[in-house]
Amino acid sequence: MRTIGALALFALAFGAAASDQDEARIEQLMSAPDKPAAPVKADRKADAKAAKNDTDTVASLIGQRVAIETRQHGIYIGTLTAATRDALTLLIQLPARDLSYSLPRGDVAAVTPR
Amino acid sequence: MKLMMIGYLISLLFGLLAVVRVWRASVLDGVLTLLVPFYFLVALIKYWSDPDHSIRIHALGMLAGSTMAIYGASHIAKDVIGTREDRQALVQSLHKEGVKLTPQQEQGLLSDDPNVVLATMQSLDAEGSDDGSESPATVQRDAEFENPAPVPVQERPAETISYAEAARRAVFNRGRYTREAIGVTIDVPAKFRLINAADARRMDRSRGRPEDNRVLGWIIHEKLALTDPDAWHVNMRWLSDGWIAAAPLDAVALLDDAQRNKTPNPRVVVSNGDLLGYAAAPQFDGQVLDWTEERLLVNSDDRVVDCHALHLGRRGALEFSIVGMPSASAALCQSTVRLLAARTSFMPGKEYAEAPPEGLRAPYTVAALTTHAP
Repeated sequence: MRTIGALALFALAFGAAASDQDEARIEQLMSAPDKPAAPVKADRKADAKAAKNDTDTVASLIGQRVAIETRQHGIYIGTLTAATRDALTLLIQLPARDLSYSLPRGDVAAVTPR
Repeated sequence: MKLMMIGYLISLLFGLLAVVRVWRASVLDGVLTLLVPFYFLVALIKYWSDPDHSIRIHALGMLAGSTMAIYGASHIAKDVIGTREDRQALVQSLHKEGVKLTPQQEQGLLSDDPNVVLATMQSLDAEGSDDGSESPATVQRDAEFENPAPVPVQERPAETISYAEAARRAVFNRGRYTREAIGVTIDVPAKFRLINAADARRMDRSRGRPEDNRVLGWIIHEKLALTDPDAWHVNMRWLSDGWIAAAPLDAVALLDDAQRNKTPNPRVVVSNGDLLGYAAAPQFDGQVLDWTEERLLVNSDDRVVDCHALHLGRRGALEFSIVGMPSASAALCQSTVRLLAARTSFMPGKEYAEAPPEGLRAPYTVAALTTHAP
């Protein structure tokens, strides 16, 4: 019985803490509006290695339809038109026009052909 | 006429005094004397020998009054038609005015029988009405009056007030918001305020936007002024379509479907723009579905984000959406709607169930909400 009570208290406390964290984050974002979300911290060395390995792979996908996954769990689909060290450029077909959309290389988590 | 009225008043006065006197003896008898015709006869006999409550004099007064009233009523016709001299003067005046009277009419007017005189007077009145101006009773209705052509019902005049005025009228609520009919409770975060559906609709109307019948309210951060048309807010809506089926979500496939769909049918509020991608891919944890869309506004190069978090219930979903926020504020947008969805709880028996419960089922799935499939 005591164990269940302790677990319930822990769950409540954990929930309240998580909620407080969300509120604190919103207040932080309200204080600094219109700034891009801080990218998820990544290991710079690992990133550098991955960038070297991926450069050829991504460059080989130019002209193909790809899906790009971002570190913020975003998804973009389009034709890869350019891949530089700083950014990947997608051509996204919209109903009325085509848009050239650039994604900072640091935000890209994965590129997969479609 | 006067005699009738005086007799009636005397009868009424004695009647009321009799009721008062009987009431003092017995409330029941008083009420019955007042309401039941001729019950005063019972009271008269019952209290005949009671000096304090006897109504003998009152009954006598009522009898006298009634007699006067009846006598006056029987002679009312004579009062109306007047004396024979009066009627002769009337005939002469009619001749002077050029009114042609037949011998029968003249005889009728000078008759000693009041009924004949009255009938003749009425026939003369009717003839006068036919010759001269029409009385309202004889006005002919035109065909349109009898069979009116259909007239479009005027729409309810729209309340036209300025955005500032609509914002000034809004009432801010803090703390816990409960909607019993839906069985949902929202613990509104301390830094946020809620305005109800009526205020939210008024705000929309003041901007010339169509009325959203699914809106439950707006939630706005306390640092933002409602009077500022550029300030963002959370749309709180109830999708009352029933239980929504869920299935594992493949974000890439969903985006592919959404972009191929040329006739989107959004069930959530969205900004007027084309879908570029998911700034945050759809995810569903069994209770809350959330995702963020990045859109390119129509006829513009501005990119905005629409953030959605839906807390599913047994009979629908409570939607929290922020639309048209600058792309750079995506994190704030997502965090806010997710927080509100997390602060939402359905009452026992109203929670979302994985298996379809008995009752209404939504004609769409969780996936279709994110792709806006028809």
